[in-house]
Amino acid sequence: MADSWVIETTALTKRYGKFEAVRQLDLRVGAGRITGFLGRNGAGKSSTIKMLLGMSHPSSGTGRLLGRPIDDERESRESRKHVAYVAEDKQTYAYMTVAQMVAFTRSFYSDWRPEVEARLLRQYDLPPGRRVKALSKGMRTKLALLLALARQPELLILDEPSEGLDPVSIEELLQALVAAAADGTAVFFSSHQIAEVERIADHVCVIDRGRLVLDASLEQIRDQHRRIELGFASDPPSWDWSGEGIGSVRTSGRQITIMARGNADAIIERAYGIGAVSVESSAVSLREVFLDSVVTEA
Amino acid sequence: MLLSKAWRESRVRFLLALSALALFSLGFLLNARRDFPPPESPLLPYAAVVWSRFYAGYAGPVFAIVALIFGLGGLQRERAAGTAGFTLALPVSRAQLLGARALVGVLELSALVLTPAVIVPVLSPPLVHQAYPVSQCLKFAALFMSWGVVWFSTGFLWSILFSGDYTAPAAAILTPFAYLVVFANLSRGGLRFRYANPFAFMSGDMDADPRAFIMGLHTGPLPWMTMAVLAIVALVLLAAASKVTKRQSF
Repeated sequence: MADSWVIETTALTKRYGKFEAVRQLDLRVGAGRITGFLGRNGAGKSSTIKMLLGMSHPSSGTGRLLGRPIDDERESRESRKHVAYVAEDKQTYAYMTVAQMVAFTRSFYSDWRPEVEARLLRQYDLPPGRRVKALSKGMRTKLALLLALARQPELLILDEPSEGLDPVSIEELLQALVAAAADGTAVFFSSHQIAEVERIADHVCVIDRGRLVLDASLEQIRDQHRRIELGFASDPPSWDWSGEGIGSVRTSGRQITIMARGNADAIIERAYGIGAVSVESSAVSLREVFLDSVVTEA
Repeated sequence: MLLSKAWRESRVRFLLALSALALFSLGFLLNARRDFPPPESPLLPYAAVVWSRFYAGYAGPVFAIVALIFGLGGLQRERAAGTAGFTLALPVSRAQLLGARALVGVLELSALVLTPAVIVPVLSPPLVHQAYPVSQCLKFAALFMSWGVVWFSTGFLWSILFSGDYTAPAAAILTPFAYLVVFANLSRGGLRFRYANPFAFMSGDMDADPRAFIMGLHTGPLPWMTMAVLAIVALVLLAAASKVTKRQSF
């Protein structure tokens, strides 16, 4: 468990008219670790991030970024000095060249690392004299990443950072995020790519329809989430499977598959109690846990 | 750096307007070299011709539209371009972003109104063999600028209130005409509230002074009180824009 929170929200809510993009979100992101923020399209990931950075105002609830309230403009500005952010659309100023964009961004931050800037310019093969509007989508994404990774912030927030990148660049990005975390930067990134999250994250938060439906470390997920397959000699008895630790339940002929979110031993015991003749418990991937979380909640 | 950003974002339209005005000024001088004094009015003062071309007639409405267009841009435009996220994540306040844009816009507008003040007095003697006093240009520049900042601030506010690609420019172009319609109705065809007629004010209100009108020279003192009121109106509009921006979600 982290000692301090770099992100902390309490009942954070964002409404657009009657639509609630974020609902009563209680989110805590610990310092010094990599947290993956998963959710379907329109689940509320970007709305949450925008509220955290002061771009959008909460409809209700509160939040703190690096210990400072997000709805106070002065405090928000102060916290943004220590936060690097890569937006979902990765757009920077089309009329500037790569070099001008780097110089412009560098002028706002005291934690800029010129040696990292030079290395990333080479690694990403970004032409300093080329205007942003003449860059390909992948190159623009790399430029946006460079502008964030050339700093040494306390918190790095990335909204779908790998979108538009080729596999080699994705690999380089993931390594850069791990390196940033090793340097003491807390990394909070949203993604649709569950495999990426599973590879580098220490902690996972899943948001669905604006609500937090999973908040656990990968270790907890691996330990507690199990797929339990029960076999019966005849048609399975009707049984109310709802209860603590039980996610989705699927019946197929004489077999019932339960996604357990904990209490696996108790579930197995219950299964034997109602006549299961075979019980098999196996580990599940983060993809299965994610799907279970968002499908069960739907 | 915010000033540099604001300049880069606005320089194309500014340089276009500046070039157009410079070309217009040179064209005027070359025409005057050939046609001044006109045979039908050999006693027409050169100052009256300069005034009618640069500071009266269509000059006011055209300048109003230019000033309104100079006010457009900002975060709503950035939202459409997809850069608002990057800009708003910078450790600066929205007021600072707006302030930089307003300062650059007002400076550009000032450069625009001073362009004839450089070209006409300097090039009139060699090209037209006539003199035109710089002080006249500066007076009219001050009058144009007084309403110019109001138009600019109005465009600034429109660009914050309207997020559509064409809504704010359309509102900007329609604003002077809408104002004139309202003014004409309230002033009974311009008979009352003359000080609130922007184009009469910008042209030095010389229609009201036959001698000044004939000579084409603004001889009286500048209307400092009205100028101060216009500056306050512009500041109020900018403050309103800042307040609205502060509350907006992007």
